[in-house]
Amino acid sequence: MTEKNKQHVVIDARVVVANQSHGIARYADEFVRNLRNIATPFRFTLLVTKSSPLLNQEWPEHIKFQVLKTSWISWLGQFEMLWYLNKLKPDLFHSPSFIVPFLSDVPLVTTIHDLNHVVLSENYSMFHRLYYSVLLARKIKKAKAVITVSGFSQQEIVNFFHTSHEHVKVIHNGISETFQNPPMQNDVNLKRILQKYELPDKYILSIGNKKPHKNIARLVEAWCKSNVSLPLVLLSDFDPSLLGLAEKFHKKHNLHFLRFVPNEALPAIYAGADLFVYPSIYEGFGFPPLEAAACGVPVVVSNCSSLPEVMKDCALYIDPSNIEEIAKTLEKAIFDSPERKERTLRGRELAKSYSWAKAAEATHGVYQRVLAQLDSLNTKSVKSRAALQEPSDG
Amino acid sequence: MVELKFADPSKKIIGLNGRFLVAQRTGVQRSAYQLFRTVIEQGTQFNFILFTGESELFAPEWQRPNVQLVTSQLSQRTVVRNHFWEQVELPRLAKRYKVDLLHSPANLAPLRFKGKSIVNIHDLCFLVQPAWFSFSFRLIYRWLVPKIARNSSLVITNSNYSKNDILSLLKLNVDRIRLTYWSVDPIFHEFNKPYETRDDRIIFVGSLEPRKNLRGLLKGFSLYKQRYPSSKTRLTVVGCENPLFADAGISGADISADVDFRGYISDRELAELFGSSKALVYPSFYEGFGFPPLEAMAAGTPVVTSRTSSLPEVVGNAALLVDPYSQEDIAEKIAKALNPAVALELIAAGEKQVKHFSWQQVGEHMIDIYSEILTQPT
Repeated sequence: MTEKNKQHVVIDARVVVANQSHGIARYADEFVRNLRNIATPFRFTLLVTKSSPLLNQEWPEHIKFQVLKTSWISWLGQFEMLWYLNKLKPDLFHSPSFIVPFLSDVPLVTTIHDLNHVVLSENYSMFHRLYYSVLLARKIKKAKAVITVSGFSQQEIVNFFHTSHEHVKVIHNGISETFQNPPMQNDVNLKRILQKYELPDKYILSIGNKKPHKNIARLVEAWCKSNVSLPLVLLSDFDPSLLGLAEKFHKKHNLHFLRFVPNEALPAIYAGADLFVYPSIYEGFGFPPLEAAACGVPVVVSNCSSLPEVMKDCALYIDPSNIEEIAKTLEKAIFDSPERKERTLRGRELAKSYSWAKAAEATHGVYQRVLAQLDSLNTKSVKSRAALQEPSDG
Repeated sequence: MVELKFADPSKKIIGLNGRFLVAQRTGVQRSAYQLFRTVIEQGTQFNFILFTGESELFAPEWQRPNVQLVTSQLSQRTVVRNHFWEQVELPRLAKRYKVDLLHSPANLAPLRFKGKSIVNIHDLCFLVQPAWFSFSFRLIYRWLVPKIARNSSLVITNSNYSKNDILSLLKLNVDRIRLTYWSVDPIFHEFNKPYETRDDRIIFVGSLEPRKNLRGLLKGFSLYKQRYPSSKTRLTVVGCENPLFADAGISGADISADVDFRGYISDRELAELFGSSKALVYPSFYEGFGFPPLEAMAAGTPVVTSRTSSLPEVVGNAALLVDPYSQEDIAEKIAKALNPAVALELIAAGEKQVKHFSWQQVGEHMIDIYSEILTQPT
């Protein structure tokens, strides 16, 4: 079969931009990079932006690029997508996020990571809700398949969009290889990176941002009230109110705000920590605790949303709304060393079971299934049309 | 224009703002001086131009193949002239000598300098507690320092506590702040007498100003004396008044017969004094780093200090921490520190703690920061 005759899948990879590493960007980046190792009967075109880091890498013959002017999240992007979809005429379009082509009727597979825009409606505008319940809902029903990243999100999607479990396929995310072989304690490299980012000798690490569902404020309060004297390092937006709180408990000198950390330094920042805490209230998957576990760091996470499903028995769990419980768990995690060691070992094993290669394989499987269905429909309709036309011919 | 005679003129040039070298040496100036000595020694991949007063021209520490001096008429007494030099003449000089990066290590820097620059901001005490400073100092600092911070490529500070203050009070982006701890001069390791042979004396070191809480210490000390009337311990206060700061507010009534005042003394004398004393009591309200506790630890002397500001960060678990507002607490901790069993524990912990800090490391980090900025696009 020549390249031209192969079935054509277009993937929107515009979300991958340099120096940005939110969940969706990481998902799209890892997925397409692992896609190139898969033996496939299809050909692919990736939609990217001009400055996409993907363009600097080597790609096999059957994966091509189409540079778009618009960014992944824009209204003009809808028109540009329509233009290129008409030009490329794909057999299937995969959107890695909640941004799908509304103007085209191309067969669609979409990945919905979580529903935080509608579940945590207090953080978002009415517009987000309307977008999900009106625009996106229509597309989700028409989509050939929906992919999501955890059983928790699957249930959320089924409930919100009134669709079926068969329609929403769960494919767990992987963990980047950089985290699978982190620098070890006492490694010179590790020391250098920790020095570069001005980290203390021992510390508790947490990652988040200013959005309330990341729940950083409660963590800081619990840390202040606990007997734990280790510094708390936040890779999160700066928030002056946290400093006021820490000052009251004479811990302001121990609350560290990290500056921007590029992805390649992240494993060392995890590996240097004595404990990783992730008090988030809502996650579709939640990379950070798994990454921390991969780097051999004990983990404390919330007992809600997707986190227990992903972390299994390799973390200590907290009720994220209960400050006292968070404080007690911090103390337990720091002072209780034998159990700590065992859980850390299990965590490394657990992290190994999440791989991007597997995720890419499973996603490719979804393409195959959907395209096969489309094929059989097409041949059926061709046959039935032929059957209809026969009598008049005769 | 002085002709520069660098051994290798092809290296990048780092301009060092040496205005502070003509001022009286207290914490800020001592650390800036040590910092400069460290970076010129370790930064052999750079050339340095030290812009300073004529008094430094023959100082042996600046005689190195990668260092050249450009001097102007500056002196300790001409404060207004020094400000003028820093704000107007220094940026012109830096431009004329084509420096690639200008480093100002003592809070102040030229506002009109357009090139790459870094500034060390030691603490923001003048914003947190303006009443502790003289009127003119306050006026200049409160107006200038926030502008300087915004104008600089990077701000360097010396404790996480000060970094947090800079984040919240100057609203600087966290990516533009770097942290380097200071270390102690090796001289403080040299006069370390065994504990049993030391004089029955506790000491306090610092400029006589309200921030250092000498008043609280004097009251706490007399309370201690009341509780332990048999104690023969004396208190020696090292440091003198400084016109930059407000009056320390100490009256004759606070000073008992057991207190000696030593005024300003050299590092060597101070090291000897630390090495022969039984404790440093340093209940300062606010420090951006606070050298005396670390210097005392280097000299094998137990430390009592405040649990406020950056002090607990620097001393770790190796000191007795007090509430500086409580004379009761100060008296109690003086008694505790003078208990030989506690003292020996503190001495051992202190010697360990002081090893966390080294000028070698400070230098390495500074050189990394220089390289980082020099490779950034303008």
